[in-house]
Amino acid sequence: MQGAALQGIPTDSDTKLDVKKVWDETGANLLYVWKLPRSEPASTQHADFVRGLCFTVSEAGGVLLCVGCSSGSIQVFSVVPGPVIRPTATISGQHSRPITCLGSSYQSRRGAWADDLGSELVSCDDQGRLCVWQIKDEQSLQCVAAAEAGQPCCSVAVRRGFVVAARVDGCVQLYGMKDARLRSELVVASRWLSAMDIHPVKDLVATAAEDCTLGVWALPMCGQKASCLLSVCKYNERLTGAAFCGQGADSVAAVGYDVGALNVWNF
Amino acid sequence: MVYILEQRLKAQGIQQDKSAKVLQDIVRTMFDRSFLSEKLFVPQDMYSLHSTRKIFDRLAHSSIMRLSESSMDKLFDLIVMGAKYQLMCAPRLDDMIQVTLRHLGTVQAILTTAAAASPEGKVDADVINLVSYAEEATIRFYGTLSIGELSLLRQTLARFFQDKRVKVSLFLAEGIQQPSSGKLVAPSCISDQVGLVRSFDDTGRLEREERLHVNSQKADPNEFFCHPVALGDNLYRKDREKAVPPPRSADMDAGKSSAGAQPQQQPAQSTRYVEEQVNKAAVQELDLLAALVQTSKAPADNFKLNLCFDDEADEEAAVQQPQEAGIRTKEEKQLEFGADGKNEGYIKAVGGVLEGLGLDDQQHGKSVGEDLLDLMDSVA
Repeated sequence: MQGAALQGIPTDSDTKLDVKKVWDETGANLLYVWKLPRSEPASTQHADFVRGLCFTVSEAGGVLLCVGCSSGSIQVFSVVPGPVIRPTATISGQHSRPITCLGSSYQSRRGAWADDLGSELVSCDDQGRLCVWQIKDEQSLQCVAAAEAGQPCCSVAVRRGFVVAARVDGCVQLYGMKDARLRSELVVASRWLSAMDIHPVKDLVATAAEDCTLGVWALPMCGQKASCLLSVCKYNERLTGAAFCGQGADSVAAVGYDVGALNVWNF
Repeated sequence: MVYILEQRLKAQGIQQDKSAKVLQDIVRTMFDRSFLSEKLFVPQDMYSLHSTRKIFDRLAHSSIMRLSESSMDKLFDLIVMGAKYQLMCAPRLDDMIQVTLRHLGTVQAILTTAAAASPEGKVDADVINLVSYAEEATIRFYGTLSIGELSLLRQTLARFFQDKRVKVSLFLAEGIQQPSSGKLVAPSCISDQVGLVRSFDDTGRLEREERLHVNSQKADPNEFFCHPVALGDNLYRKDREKAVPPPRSADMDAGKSSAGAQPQQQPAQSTRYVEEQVNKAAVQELDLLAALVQTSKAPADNFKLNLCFDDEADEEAAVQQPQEAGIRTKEEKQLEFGADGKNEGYIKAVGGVLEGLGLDDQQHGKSVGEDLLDLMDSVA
């Protein structure tokens, strides 16, 4: 927003992970804190928690921050210059299971302009239900398509009219946004896909898995064929996160469980 | 815990009637019905490692057996590393439940065998029934969890065990842990599915399938040694054949992977108020749980179980250095479970890697290779 970047982080230091904090781009200044209201009646299966967040834009032009909740609802916040953040709507009815991840074309482009930017939000729950929401304004979100991915997704993104969903069993699937039909899938890991990041400019994804593998893949869309640009096996390092980084986002960083190092590769 | 205690009771030559009584008393406390139904099999926050340690302390001392502080530390570290290994090396989500059921089945078998060897000749049926109840409760409670809930459960457990990296000689000798860093050796990433690309038409029918060239699938299978004993089975059983892993290049890479292996601990961001609330809740939970773990007064014929070679040397070392389990200097003893000299081939194959090993999780620059080899070759 106006050149400033915001970070929304649920941190483990917050009691029971039911607090969402928004920090400025330096990570030094806490701008906003939101605590998830307790569900009534209280769940007997799990404590309330938040999981999944992304920024998106509405058709009216406003920037929104969306947060997934364990009840299956999505909390929407408006973000206006200041920045001033305030809750505007709670969206429910499509997911009955905890949200696992949220995505949007705005988030996938990291806020940069692109010709495929839209006013949408994609959500996934831990039963693998994917929903595509069209956002009119900060209070009006309508589900326009839904699909059953079959497995929960650790990450979801939007690119050129496709939903890119990373299933925890190691498969990255592409669904059409308008009809939620499965168009293609890539098997990127043998098990436990932990994370996926989408390149902000190119149609590439980076995947990290607990089978110790990191991959950078070209997505099969808009005339581009699927290919593997980078494939690494980091022995005995169960990878838990991956992100494109560096100049032009042409490097990829990964972190692993029980490991203090950050590994970076060029591709 | 039962696996380890059974092995130590035999190794220390404890009388069979006392061994059987110790195991039955511990199992009776561990699987107390009210404890299971009211405190264990209910949704709750994860306990801290410290709180969990105290629970096992109570369990261990619910019988006539007595453990020194250092032995209890070692026992707990062995328990934690064993559980962590089974969690992180399970390839499927529902393996967590299968491993638990395997544990329970083996516990019943250990109790029956120990009792059969004792003068009384039979096991207390109530104790066996308690374990059966635990099996039923496990299936009832965890069998209905969805994929998402199991995944969340696994992540929670992984967070619980994070940064706990104690080197266990049995695990090192049999290829479960990497000697240089103590990392748990991962199952293979090689799969005939990785690299498959499928395209579908508008009706959802498979239109095209192709296979990409993926370099990670060319990894050396030897790097992913899979221990032959099924997860959850008794690794400490003396009569099983010892596994000898093939030499792995990752094991040779002592310098790169072992230096600075410990992640930096970041200070908690919570406020003082939140810290106090968390501590208060933790203490309350612990008190309630400890109250439910019913213990009886120690009878006169109690005995001390030693999880170390030399208790005196261990106490002396504990005074000299902070109490830590793991690989120790010659004066201290490491967790030397199960190593009985049948892995000389493997030790030789990795060459001088072991000589460069430091103390426990951090490099102290002192070579412990020789005494480590001695300990690994010694009889438990």
